[in-house]
Amino acid sequence: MKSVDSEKSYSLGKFQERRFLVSRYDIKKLLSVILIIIPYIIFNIFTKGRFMESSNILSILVHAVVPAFVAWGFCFIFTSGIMDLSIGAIMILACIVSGILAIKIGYFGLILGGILVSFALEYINLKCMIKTKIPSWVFGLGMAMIYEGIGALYGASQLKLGKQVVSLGVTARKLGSIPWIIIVLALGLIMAYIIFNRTSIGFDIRAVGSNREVAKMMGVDVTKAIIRGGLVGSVFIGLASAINESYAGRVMPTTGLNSIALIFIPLAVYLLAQAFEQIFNLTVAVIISSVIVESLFNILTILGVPSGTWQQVAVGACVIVCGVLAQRHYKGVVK
Amino acid sequence: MRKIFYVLLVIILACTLIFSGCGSSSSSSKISSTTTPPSQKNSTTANKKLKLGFNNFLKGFYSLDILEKSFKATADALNVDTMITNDEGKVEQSVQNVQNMISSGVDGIVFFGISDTLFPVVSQKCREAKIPFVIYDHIPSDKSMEILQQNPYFVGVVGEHDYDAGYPIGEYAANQGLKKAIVVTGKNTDTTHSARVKGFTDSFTKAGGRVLDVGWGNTTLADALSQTDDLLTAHPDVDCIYATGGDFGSGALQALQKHPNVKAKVFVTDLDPDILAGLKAGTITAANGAHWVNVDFATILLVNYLNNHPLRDSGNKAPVVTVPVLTLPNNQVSLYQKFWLNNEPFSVTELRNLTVPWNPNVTLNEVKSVISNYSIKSRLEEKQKEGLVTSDELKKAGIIN
Repeated sequence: MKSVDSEKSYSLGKFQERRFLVSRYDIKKLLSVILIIIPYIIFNIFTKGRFMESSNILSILVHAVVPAFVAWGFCFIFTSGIMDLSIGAIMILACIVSGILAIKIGYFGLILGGILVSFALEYINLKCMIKTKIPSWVFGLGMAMIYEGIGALYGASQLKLGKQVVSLGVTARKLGSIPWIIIVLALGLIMAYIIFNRTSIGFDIRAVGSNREVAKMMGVDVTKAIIRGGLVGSVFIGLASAINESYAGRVMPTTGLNSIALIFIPLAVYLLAQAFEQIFNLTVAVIISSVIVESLFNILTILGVPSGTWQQVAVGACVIVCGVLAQRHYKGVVK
Repeated sequence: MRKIFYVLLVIILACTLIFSGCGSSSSSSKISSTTTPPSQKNSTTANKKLKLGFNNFLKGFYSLDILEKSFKATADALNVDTMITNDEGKVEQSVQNVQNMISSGVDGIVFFGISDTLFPVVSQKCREAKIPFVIYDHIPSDKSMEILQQNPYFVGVVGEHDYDAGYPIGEYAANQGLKKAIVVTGKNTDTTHSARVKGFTDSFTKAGGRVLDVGWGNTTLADALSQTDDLLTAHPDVDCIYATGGDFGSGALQALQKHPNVKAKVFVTDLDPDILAGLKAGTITAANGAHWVNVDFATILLVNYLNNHPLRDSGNKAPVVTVPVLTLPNNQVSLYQKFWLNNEPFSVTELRNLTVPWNPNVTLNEVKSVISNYSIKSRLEEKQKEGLVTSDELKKAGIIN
């Protein structure tokens, strides 16, 4: 009887402790949300209500979609320790192909083109990185130059015909506009959340990213995990490319590693999301971070902060702060 | 699987080699190869086809690629070989590429300098290597010109004042009764865009208008779209948007469509295919550009020099020639597409008539006269003489009555 009582009281204690823990976690979450919302309210007062007008909030959300999809791609590629800097160049080629296919077969071509190109090129990258054992960022830089070259050749061939790089005009533009872009964002979040948190792909890449040797000892096939994670990431990059093509209508090729600039904002989003990871799930944190980063540009413009100079300074500072926050619990030497 | 992987790797490497080979040089056209002028054979570079180096500051950027395209067409017309380099948007790469072109044995260099600081450095390199050079598109500052004029290998400059691209747009917008403007542009460090912004701002404010904000730092259409979106939220009362580049214009136009409450007119510098479509549809009020023919005349100056016939100014100085920036009305869009983008505005015969091997008595005044008469009207009238356009088409375009 005594043992039953003690067992009961132990279970009650455990339950209360758990409830207490859940409440603390919830309070932390709630506080974070409030802390995020407060500056919005303050800025809204400063801008006489213009900042939080529904049209402006929607516009910020729309701007946040492409960086969010690319950052979700990073969640799957970078988490396993692969720093692929050719993603910007892959995106440019994926945008071009999705544009060409969209003109021919509509939305199906738009999405298929983006995903296929991104999937194929990322597969080549990952395979080569693993086979050659070259540091991923070095290999990524090399591949970025190759992909940029292919894009530039396509641009030059169009120019000879008196044309420009493929432009969608009015074709397949709904994906990049309200309400579809928001629906796609929601679907992307669900997809990223489930794959990252509820499948073996997500578990494996997190295990590999956390400690490759331990993951190996636990029975995780490291190579397979990296490739599977990378390919899932490439699907998000492909979707980002299709949405970007539909949103902007045309993406111009570039050379001289300028394609890396394309992933700068998503990188800031990814770093900020990592900082929020203690409070929110990484995939959810990506959306929150993307909205915050895009809001930053928006509010600075509304407040009249000069673009190209002080706005860049603010975003650069934001990236550094995010990096510091993301690494604050790390005890070793940060590479 | 391993075999497939290695085959793929080999294909990628092979493609890379082929592509890099394609991009680095080009040969002359079929038309020209059979008509080498006798005077060229007797020149200092006797029995040898001339080879000109050319730097594209950033391949993949439409307004720079069109300069490269025009240069290649002119080089083909004048029967010279080319070596084209890509500076990849980096100033230090420009200097490195000049060195590379000199090392590879070019006879002369057609140079684009994004920054004024580049001109003295490149001038020094060419002087040491005894390689003549000509500058296209960007006109150096007076201070740089002083240094350049002391170099006997400096052949001249043909370009445009970017200030003059923005100024007439500001004037035209103000004349339309517009009062509040925003500007969407590139990086503040890019002298092309900063000069266009200044030109627009000066004329617009002089006429009583106000530039509410300038959106700097755009590099892509998507950047311009997002930034214009933010700018229109910040300034919903604007009635004028000026974009200093084609992609920025396309982005601004798309952003404007998302703000139905904003009633603004869009003006653009650069006449790329998307902007032409906007002009035709009436969504863009006015656009100017077409000054990229400057590279044609820069090449002509250099080829004349290399054929022992330097075209000098009255004070025996290397000439500085300015190409006008053309404004395109929307009823001339189709003809512009046909004769500027699908073809070249100047025919092979016209270009050869300004070059020594074909015209041994050519003068600088002749070259200057062609440039100063450069307009949509004059070009289309020339195309009519060549039988490429009918009077009905010209009437429809408002060129003739």
